Amino acid sequence: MIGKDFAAVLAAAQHRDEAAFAALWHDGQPALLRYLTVIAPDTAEDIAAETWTQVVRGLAKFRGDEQHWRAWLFTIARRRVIDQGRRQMRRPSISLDTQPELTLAELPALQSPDAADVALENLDTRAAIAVIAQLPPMQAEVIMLRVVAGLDTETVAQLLGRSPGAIRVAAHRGLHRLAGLLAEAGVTR
Amino acid sequence: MTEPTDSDSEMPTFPFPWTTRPDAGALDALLAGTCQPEEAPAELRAVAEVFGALRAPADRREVVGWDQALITYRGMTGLPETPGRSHRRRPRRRATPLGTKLAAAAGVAVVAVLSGGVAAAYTGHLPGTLQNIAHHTIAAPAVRANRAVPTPTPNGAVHPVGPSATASAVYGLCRAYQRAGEHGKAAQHSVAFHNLVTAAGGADQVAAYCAKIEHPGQANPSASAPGRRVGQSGAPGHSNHHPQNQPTPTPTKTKKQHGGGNGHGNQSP
Repeated sequence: MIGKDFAAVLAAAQHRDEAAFAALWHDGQPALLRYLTVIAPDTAEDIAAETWTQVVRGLAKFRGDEQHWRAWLFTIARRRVIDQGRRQMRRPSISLDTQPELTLAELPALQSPDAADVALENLDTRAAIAVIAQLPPMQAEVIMLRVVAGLDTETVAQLLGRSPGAIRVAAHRGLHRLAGLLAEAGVTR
Repeated sequence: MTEPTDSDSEMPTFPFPWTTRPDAGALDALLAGTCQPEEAPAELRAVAEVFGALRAPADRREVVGWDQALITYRGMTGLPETPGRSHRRRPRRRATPLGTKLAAAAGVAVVAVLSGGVAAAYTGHLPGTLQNIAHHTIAAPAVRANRAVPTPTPNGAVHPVGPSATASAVYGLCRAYQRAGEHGKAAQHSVAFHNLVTAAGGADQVAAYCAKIEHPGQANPSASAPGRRVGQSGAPGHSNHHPQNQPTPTPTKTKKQHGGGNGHGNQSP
């Protein structure tokens, strides 16, 4: 997060200040890519690039605080994933909303130990993403939006078109299941 | 904030690792990142560790798309995609506010090499947070606690004093000074170079003085060349750990982090 200087940084980026845009991009890109690695592992980098193109296109008109900014960024990314899924008729993207029984872990890209290797050298982060991807899609996406994107429950609810209560349920179930997965794997602290 | 009770019935065989379920507050604190792993309940420590890894600082490979993003930004905002070629295409291109200040301070040659605010970052002109982010992303000097600030005169006027030439920005100043010299001496008389000349002991001593200055990346083994280093300490999530030791212009006060919102701002691109 950029924090209290976000408004100044945003304003500068909207007035063609490259350093300000660099600050926005470097703050948002890692979280964006990690989120996309979970919900669209095969095309995460491409969709991230498309997302930033759309962000730049609408940057001058954007109004809002940092929470709005992040919500906008991840909303664009999610829509790109869904649009791409519709275009390519690929199950992973479409399944986000329509096939909750399909776990991301069942996707071919996530069956490999290097599933999260598309953009990460950090082994801990890669492993963390891989274990999150073992959760049911809704739970995995909610946890990524809350933990990595830094969005609150209400914002995630709007982004996903669900009620805040449904988001809390998904998050807490995801936590329970995640704790179970880690316990089964013998990961204890 | 309460958890529905039907969750257990839907996962009757799932092996929960705890016998007494943590309260919703503890779970929400984990999700929001407001508690450290060591502060988490024992049964959630492993989950907290996973979340910590999810929020880890940016990986080098996660920011390889920056060059393309910058080209897109330049293309869509009317800035030259590559500074070197831009002068042939747009000899009268508009400069950004930061770029304008820099051109006045360090000469247009610097802008040609390190366009706009990027060059400002190297000379330490950016607001505190922005400078710190630039430090982590493009190997610009870090925010300095003893950074020079405008000093009021007895009549209340404020004179710019430029970055301190004895601080880590000296490398950038040296580069800018050298390039300004290649394009005429006039720019070398700017405020930004005054301290550099003073620190060197005179204008004729600047070259020798700068020859002793190492690139900031050489002083830090983890740093690489400008434009290549990535945000190694810029956590993607919420670790708002950037030093805030400089007053920075903030046109409007931002809302609280988790204050809700419509999720889309008010933009309509």
